[in-house]
Amino acid sequence: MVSEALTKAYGERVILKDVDLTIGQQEIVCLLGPSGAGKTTLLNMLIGTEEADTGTIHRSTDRIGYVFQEDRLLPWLTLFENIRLVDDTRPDEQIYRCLRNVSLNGYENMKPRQMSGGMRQRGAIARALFYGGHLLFLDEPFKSLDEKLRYDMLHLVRRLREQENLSVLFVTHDMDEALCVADRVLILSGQPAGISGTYDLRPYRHDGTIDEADEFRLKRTLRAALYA
Amino acid sequence: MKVSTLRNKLIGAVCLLAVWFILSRIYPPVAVPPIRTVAAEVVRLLGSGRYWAEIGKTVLRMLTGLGLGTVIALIVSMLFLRFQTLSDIFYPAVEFLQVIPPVSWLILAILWFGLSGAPAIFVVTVAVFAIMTVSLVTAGRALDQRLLTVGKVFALSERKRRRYIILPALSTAFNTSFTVCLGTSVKLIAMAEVMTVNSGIGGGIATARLNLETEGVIAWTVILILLYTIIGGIIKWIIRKNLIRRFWFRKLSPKRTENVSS
Repeated sequence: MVSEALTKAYGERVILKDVDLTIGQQEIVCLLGPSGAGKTTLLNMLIGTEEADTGTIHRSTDRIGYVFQEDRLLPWLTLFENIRLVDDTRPDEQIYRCLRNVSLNGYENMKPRQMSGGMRQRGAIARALFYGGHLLFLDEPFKSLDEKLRYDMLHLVRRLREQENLSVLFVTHDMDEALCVADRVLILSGQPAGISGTYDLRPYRHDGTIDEADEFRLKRTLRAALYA
Repeated sequence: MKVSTLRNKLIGAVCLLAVWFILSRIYPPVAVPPIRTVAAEVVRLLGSGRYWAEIGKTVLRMLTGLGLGTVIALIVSMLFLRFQTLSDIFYPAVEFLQVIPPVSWLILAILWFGLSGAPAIFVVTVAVFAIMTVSLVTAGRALDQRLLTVGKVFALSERKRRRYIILPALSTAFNTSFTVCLGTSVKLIAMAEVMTVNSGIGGGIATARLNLETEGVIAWTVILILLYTIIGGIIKWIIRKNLIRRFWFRKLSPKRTENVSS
């Protein structure tokens, strides 16, 4: 997916200006920005639920799996039905496969209220995987989870990327999350917001993790870019 | 039902019967007939095939009015929620419908349809339509917008959004207003029959009134309460058994059971 020079204003107030963004195949791109920077607006434009005022978007697919800040599973449907709802043409086996991928096999007949917060968010990921094929957007999806669960989920995202050949756009305001999950970090900041920096984390990752010294340095760099 | 709930209900019924018993001792039978006389009258009415036919007429009229009112309310509510302009123009009129006394509608309906079962059905339909539309539109306007976004993001068709998101989200409001409408229908159908026809339960009440048979009036009223309880019970049973849910979401159900060990 490639977007070029995206600009969005609400009335006189310009929110985003000239945003360029590329997500490569099987890449996890993390969009890091402070709260209110326009991250969700940018995401909405990328998936097509909001129109950009100017700029172009090239999508390799029309179907983009999306995970919201809250799970947004429909409470009157079971987990299986929630997933089936987004596509009623593909066989049941693919739904079970998505559930197995997020370790929710056996829970398909549960309603969201019977599940824990972490299970519901994994359910939302399963729904997005089933719908989206190879492109997955996550909009600060784990911010309501406790720390341990949050890191488990971030590792799940990295595992799914390998397993399902996914390209991922992960939106967060949390630097630790970005360092844990991303191949590349894009900083969205400023007034109006634009991409103010790109940082490739792949050279720093060894067996999926970044060592403490590098993490410390990267955090300092990212913080400087974020609040410049 | 829990034992304590059943016990409390029994205590309530016994208290009511005790008050009735005391009043029947104080006032003459034409004003407050004894419990025994009314019970005998209920048994007599229910034991006769002729009266069952009258009860059937009332049930048919009531369910027709209730059904028509509900279906029209569902369609109109969906239109109001979908088209804001339509709602701006016509919704206030629906709100006004609620405050028009049923007896005014009944007199108009007698002029339009004559002295038949139709005015009774009409009055129930209008009342149910007004109550249910106001309830559904109010609930629809308060819908959780975040759930509607799910439909947008996953590009669900308009039909799917209506069927699987909007209507289920309105189900609580629907269930509540349907219960209110059922009670209202029972009251209105009896009133309308008393004033328009000499058949049905209302016809029975009217005849008993003309003959000053107070026990007959109360016996028919008891039968109306029994009807409400039975129909309400059937509806609750249907909801409890998930019959509507299973039918409504049948296309989303798995085609086969997954082997969990796989």
